[in-house]
Amino acid sequence: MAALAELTAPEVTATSPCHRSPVGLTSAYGLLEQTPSLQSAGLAIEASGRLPGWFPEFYRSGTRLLDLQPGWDSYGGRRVELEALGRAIVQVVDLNFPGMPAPAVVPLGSGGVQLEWHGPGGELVLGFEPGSAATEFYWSDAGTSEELVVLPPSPPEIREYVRRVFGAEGR
Amino acid sequence: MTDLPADDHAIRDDDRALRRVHPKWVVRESDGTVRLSSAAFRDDEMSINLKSLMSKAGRPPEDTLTGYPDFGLAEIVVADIRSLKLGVVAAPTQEEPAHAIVTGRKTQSVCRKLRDRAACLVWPRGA
Repeated sequence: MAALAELTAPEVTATSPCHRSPVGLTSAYGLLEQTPSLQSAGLAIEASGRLPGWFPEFYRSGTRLLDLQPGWDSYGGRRVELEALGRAIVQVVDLNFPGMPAPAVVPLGSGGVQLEWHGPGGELVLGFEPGSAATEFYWSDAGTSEELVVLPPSPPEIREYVRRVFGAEGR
Repeated sequence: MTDLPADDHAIRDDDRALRRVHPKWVVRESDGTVRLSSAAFRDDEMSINLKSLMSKAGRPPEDTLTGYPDFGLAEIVVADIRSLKLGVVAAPTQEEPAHAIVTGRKTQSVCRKLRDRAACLVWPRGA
């Protein structure tokens, strides 16, 4: 799978000091300059090491969701909450591993977001609702097996699920 | 005893639920293929239009998109919705006489199954 090979990066170490307080992005990636709305809102993620090449685009995709206006989904959807988006971005930073494929970041009508990985081995969804510290974890192998928990497994376990979604190439 | 969601059995199993799809609910994969996100079906009280009511009024399904030119349109058979222990209740409004609600708890598993059973009649613009 060419995409995976391209995404393979040197060892990444990323940390997020606190998931409960506003998270921040103060890294060496020049992202703050591109996202003044997040900077002014106090969103910052402390990251060290190297993030994958797709991370800036992922980050931009996520922050563009903050521009959605109330009712954006035509069914009275709420604006995406910075706090929910921030937790999702921190989760990606925490999960980061060499070769990790990019997740899609998708808005929810509730004001939350979800991260999605789809591949030959199924799909993995992490849901971040506003006003809740919990992350919803859902994995399906595209057949009959699936798991759904509100308290998600640890980052190492989630990494294993990401690898499962992308099959042997992702291992 | 399990609480069953409200369900209007006057709505036939072979009717179709029509749901607008925001462009952000379409995900483009690295190989260029596009797919619907389960997020499109995540609302607790999920608004839909009933195809039978639109048809009775001489309106094509695409009329659901009037005023929403960038949106797509997904269709799900009502029997498929009910098979997930969800209900369908008519909820006409002044603006949309064909409006209805899909009731019941929509876990991520249920949302995925709704997504898998949905046919995308119109893809959102740009998808």
